[in-house]
Amino acid sequence: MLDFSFSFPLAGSNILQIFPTGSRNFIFDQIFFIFVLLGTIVGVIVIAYMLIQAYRYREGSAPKKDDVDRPKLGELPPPVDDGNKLLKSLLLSAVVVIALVVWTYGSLLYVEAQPSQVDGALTVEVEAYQFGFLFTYPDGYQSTGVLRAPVDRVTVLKITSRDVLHNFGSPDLRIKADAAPGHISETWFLAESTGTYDSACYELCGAGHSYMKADIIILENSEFEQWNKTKNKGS
Amino acid sequence: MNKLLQTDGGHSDDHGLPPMSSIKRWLVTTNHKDIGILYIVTSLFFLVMGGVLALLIRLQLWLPRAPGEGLLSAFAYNQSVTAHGLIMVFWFLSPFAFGFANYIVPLQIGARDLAFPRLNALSYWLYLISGILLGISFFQGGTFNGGWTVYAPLNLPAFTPQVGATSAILALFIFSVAITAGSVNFLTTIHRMRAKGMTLINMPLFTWTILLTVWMMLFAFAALLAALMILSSDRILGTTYFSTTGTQGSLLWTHLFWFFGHPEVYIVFFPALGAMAEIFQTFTGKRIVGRKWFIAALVLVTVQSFVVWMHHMFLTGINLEIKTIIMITTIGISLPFDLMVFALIYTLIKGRIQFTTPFLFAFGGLILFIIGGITGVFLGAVVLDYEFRGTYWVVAHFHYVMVGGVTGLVAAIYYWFPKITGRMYDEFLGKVNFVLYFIGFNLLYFPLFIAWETPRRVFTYPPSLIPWHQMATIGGLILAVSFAVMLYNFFVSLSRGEEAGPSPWKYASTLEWALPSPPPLENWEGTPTYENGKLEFLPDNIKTDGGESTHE
Ligand code: HEM
Ligand SMILES: [Cu+2]
Ligand SMILES: [Cu+2]
Repeated sequence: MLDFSFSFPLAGSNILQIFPTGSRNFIFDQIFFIFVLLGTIVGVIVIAYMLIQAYRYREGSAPKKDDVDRPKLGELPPPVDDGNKLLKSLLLSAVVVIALVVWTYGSLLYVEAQPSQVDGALTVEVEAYQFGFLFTYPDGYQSTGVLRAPVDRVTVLKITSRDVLHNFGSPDLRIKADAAPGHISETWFLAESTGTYDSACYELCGAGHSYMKADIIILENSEFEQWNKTKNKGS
Repeated sequence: MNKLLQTDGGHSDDHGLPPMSSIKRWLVTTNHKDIGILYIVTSLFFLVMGGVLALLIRLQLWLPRAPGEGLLSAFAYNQSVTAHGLIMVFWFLSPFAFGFANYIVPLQIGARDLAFPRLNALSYWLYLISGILLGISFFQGGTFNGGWTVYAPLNLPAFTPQVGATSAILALFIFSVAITAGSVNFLTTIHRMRAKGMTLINMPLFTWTILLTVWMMLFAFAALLAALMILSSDRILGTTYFSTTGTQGSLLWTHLFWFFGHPEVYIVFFPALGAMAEIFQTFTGKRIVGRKWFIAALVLVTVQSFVVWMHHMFLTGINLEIKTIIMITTIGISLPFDLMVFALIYTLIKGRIQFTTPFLFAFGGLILFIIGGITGVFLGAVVLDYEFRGTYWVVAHFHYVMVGGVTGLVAAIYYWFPKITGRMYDEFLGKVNFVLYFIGFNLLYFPLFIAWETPRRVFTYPPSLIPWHQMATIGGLILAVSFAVMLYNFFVSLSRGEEAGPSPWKYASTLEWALPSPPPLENWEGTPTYENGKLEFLPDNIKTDGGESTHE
């Protein structure tokens, strides 16, 4: 096993580090932005080039004298070697694609690094079931439908399922992990501001799937500690 | 056998078969062209069926709905999404492509029919029966409703107890049997029955893509068939292979399914790619640039398609090392596609491009495929995939790719319509069709990239995304209208179209265009050969296989 040790939490990116690290949102936004930018540029160039060439060589615009050998009925394809330009273009596109994906690989390693070893991380077990989520805190306290976590602190989720395949995801916090029966998937998030975030099931799991949701409430550290202390008394 | 028929029945065109106008003809035929037509017509029915389901889904998505609101109940919605996916991928797209494969491939390689005509008919009838069974399953307490991926353990009776769900699984099973029989048939035909001089490397690109498609089918559908056998046993006999306890069941299914599922993506796309390549060649008047590289790329994809399946499982219990390997193979498989796209684009240069309807569709299909490809690279970057998984990004991406493929096949149906029917379609209606199609398509699917945060297979979504979903629904309706225009065009042209003659296309080069339209039942008299570097038909009596004996 390779050892990828990163320090947690790293809000914002380090200039010396080429690939983004930090909160899941930050990583996603950075990478997504670059991909959209490059994707748009490449797409526009390629499609514009196609359109221009197609217009330029439309029938009737070409010179009367035709020095190109045209396909003939019943021919076998003549052996021509015109792959050079093709291979050059391929090389170019390969460089772009590989560079992009390799660049994101660093971030992947960062995301995958074992976050449970981070000091002060809160670990919550998540059990998905038809149709909801049960959250279990380190002290055994359980709640359904609402997950409370502190701001600016890593929260580690250990996710499993009681019945069928589900998937626990929060678009606001950029997390997602499969919930499979008999298996624990681990993921983590780092909320940078307080508030209520959405989370939902992202794997079709039956008739109630569309409404299989939970709120993630991010509290100030002190508020969280307060709640943590009193939670077992109330409900 | 051929000669027997000829001496017995003289030269009446139908050689003892009832005429095309009689229903009996279509029940008893084993002729590859007839079967091709049966496939095309049947698959278009399934297109309508899958399309109606799609429109129901889109109407439901007009607004985010509370439980019980809208046209569909939650249960009906899940059935619709599932059946739409299954029908479009299995009962429409592949059989549509194989309609052309049946009709055109034997002609292109100079074979009189497929190697096993009766087996071919059997494939078709199994396909039809499986489709009817799927239709019936809706009325057996509801059809399967766990998504086209049929993930375990949701696919077990404990969670999907409907009789219809079992019927749908059986339908899929019968369909896979039909496909397997069909792929054996095509493999034998293409490898063993080519005209002299038609070497593998000389084969037209459409035939090439069909050959590689059936190779992929052979291995991919074997995995699906195995998975479906186990599942049927679980559902009917009460075994517990995909049982609810433990992760093994669900993982086993996921691996088997995607080992099939990823090649399936290319299985549905390759024929369209081959058709597009030929259409580009014909209407640009230019041979495909780097033909050999193009073929090499196709072969490479075929092989690679079996080593990327776990990119559908980046979140499903695989470790970092495997993720890394699969990420690499996934980028790897995108590169041959880049090459093919470039080859098509460079073919335009120095062309004499005729903007006929088939060319417009092929050209448009390429644009859609490029957009699908670029957005696919996003998914290959694992960190992004984590977020896109299960959202409309994926939905938009795979529709661009797969319906991009459909676009190529629409090009194909316009391209070969004159060959198959002997009549020209209406060019003006064809262009109207294209404009509506292209606008409808992009209005339907592009907004879904913007609304990507919508979870998949769900009919609630954040209200801020309503405008995008409404645009998509309107686009879907326009797309439906464009298909209606297409069907109307063909229907009218069947009786009123101009006579097409052997080849209405100036730069057509493959064998089928040397034949009358439609070709006679036996395709040609004599024997086609490319021995001397170009197509010739040798008269039968020169054949050296023992003369004109009728005792076979
Ligand atoms: C013609 C070729 C088409 C193919 C091959 C195709 C394929 C698929 C597949 C495989 C799925 C996934 C089903 C699942 O999640 O289980 C799907 C979903 C969907 N399709 Fe299509 N489709 C096609 C056309 C259309 C059209 C014309 C429309 C719109 C009018 C459409 C709208 C949708 C919608 C709204 C979903 C649901 C997305 C979700 O919630 O996951 N599709 N399609
Ligand atoms: Cu769910
Ligand atoms: Cu795949």
